[in-house]
Amino acid sequence: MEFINVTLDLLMGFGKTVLIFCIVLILSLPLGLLVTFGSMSKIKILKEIVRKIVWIIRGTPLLLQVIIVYYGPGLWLNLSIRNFRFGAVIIAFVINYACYFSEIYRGGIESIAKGQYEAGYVLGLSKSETFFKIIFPQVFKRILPAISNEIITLVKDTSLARVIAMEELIQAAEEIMATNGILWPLLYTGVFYLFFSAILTKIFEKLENSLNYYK
Amino acid sequence: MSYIEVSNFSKSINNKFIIQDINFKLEQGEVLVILGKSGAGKTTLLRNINLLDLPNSGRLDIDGEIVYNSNEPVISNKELQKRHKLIGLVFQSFNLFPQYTVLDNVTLALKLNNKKKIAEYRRKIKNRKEVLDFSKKLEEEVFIKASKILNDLDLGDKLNSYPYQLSWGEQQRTAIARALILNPKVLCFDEPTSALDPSLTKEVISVINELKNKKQTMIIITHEIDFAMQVADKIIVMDQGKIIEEKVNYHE
Repeated sequence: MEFINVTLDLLMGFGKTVLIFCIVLILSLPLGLLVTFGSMSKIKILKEIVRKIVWIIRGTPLLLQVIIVYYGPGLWLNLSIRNFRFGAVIIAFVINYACYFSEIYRGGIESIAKGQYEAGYVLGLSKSETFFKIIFPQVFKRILPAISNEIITLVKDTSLARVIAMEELIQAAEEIMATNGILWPLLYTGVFYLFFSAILTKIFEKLENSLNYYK
Repeated sequence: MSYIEVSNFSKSINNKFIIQDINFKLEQGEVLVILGKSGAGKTTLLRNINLLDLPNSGRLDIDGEIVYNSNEPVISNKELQKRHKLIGLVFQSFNLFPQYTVLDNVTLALKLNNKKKIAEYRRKIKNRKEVLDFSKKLEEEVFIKASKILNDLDLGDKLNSYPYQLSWGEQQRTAIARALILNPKVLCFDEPTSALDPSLTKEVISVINELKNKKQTMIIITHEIDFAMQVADKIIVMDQGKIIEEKVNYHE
């Protein structure tokens, strides 16, 4: 099979990979912050429940979570949802990544001195103004390296989607392998992942530098 | 009635009084220094006056308004925000916002305030251009006010500097400017001279005296007697959470 054809086939799979990546990121970053608020809540029961959920999600393989979300509705609820592959992947990934992000957020938020909050309060700022105008920008700067680490992991984790036969990059390569009896397209996928993470690394570098204007 | 009246302030944690039955009065433009060793309850008292903590019992009146009254039903967050603006505080470690310039540190509170005003204005007046003009006007006012305060505090050439680029004294004056922009009825200082060399202490004294000339009412806590004698109109000495001595300072 020709190199060009393989590349084009893989690009189709890569498109799905990028799509999963983008949707998961856009949804899980803000959801993670909500999870953080839950895990830091003064309402004890809420805090306990959220922390237990985070523990379960972080303590089990993402692969398993994808399977449970995909087969669960049919198995336990007798629900059959058409074309649920993509939806299942997004749901499982968003929940998983939100939990990981929430722990990074929490670490960042807890590292900010109490005096920064109090400085906001004595100026008559509300709690949310204090958080979003004073605390969060500082948190963001501190956690950016950890977040970018996690995001680059997400690039590669998208390949787990193939466990429920979702057509992403690796799945596309495996199909070519099966029909043509050649191995190299699978190895070739590595180049796509490398290329994608190279771009992300560059973006995060820029972002980190742009926040270096203060200490 | 005096300009500021603190009556029967008490705060206890785990049934132990940190401050107990604090009473004092202060007239407009006066400087009160609260003296005491560490652990005497000064910081707790200041935090309660600033409503960062709420006293278990007591009442605070400023300029004829009840700012806190323990007999009053629980204050809403919104009301608390409003009352916070009456009382300025310069923290011991300043707590400047590192991500903002000097100017932005000082203007942040007013800008957020203006945002609400503009939103309200937009609801009333649908004309886009008028709203834009209104917001421009407010922005300009904030800038002029901040520049004046910063100039008066010798920070005119530091507007665009970040806190980490400032000297200790400049940071302190930025913190003062940030509090002053809200026109607080009283400005509080938490240990403004602790662990300073004499030349810097002199700088602090001159800044405080300048504010005093502008009739700014101030409450300062410190453990340094010499410093207290140089700035205070009234001195309160605290020990073990109580006032043990109260005197007028005739320093002039």
